Amino acid sequence: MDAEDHDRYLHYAVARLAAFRNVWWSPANEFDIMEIKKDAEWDRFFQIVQAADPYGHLRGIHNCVRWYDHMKPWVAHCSIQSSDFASMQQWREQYCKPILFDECRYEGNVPREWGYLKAPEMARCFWLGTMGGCYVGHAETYLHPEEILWWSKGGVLHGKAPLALPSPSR
Amino acid sequence: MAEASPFEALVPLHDLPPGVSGLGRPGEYHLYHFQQSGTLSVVLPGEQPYGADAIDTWNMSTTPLEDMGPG
Repeated sequence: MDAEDHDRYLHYAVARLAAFRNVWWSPANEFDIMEIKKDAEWDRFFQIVQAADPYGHLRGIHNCVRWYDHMKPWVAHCSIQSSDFASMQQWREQYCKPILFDECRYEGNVPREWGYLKAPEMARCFWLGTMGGCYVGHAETYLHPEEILWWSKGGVLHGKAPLALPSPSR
Repeated sequence: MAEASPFEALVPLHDLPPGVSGLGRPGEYHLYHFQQSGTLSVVLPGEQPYGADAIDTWNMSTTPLEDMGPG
């Protein structure tokens, strides 16, 4: 897509989705593996979404290896793919923004490095992140006979980690 | 279990041994997480006595421990 198409698409997406209260924005999943896109474009996408969303939903961007510059003013929180819970204090003090472990790997049994956490290991990530003053995102990658991985399809959670975690509603 | 402060009011407690992390409102409520079993010495500020509970973070069960004085 050229720049004009990007603009039109982003304005359309924001107009369709911004009214939902459970929306937050991420310009990409693993932005850094799309080498054709330069950081100036991600900057512009952020700014378009920020200007178009009358409700100011949270904005972050999910990385693979290289980090986006989360110091930029349109970034609401640092969305981090990492399990480096030892660096939490440094990141909090460096960015002065909420730190979200957006992908510290997933509870499941797919034979991939990112998708085979046992439930207690997933729960432990939540404890470590939360105790360090950060936030942790959850997802599940349990193999399913009809290939309905929660991670990409949603639906029913099968794992045990969510049940073990304290919740305000429990 | 002692009434926890609202989560938003808790701040990370630093200068803890490796494998131990903490959140709290010093003098009111302290929450420590141990990656392995071990002991921890902390200074409890104020004049008031403190209660203590051990939480099993997988079963989310709570076991009361001995009450402690300040200091």
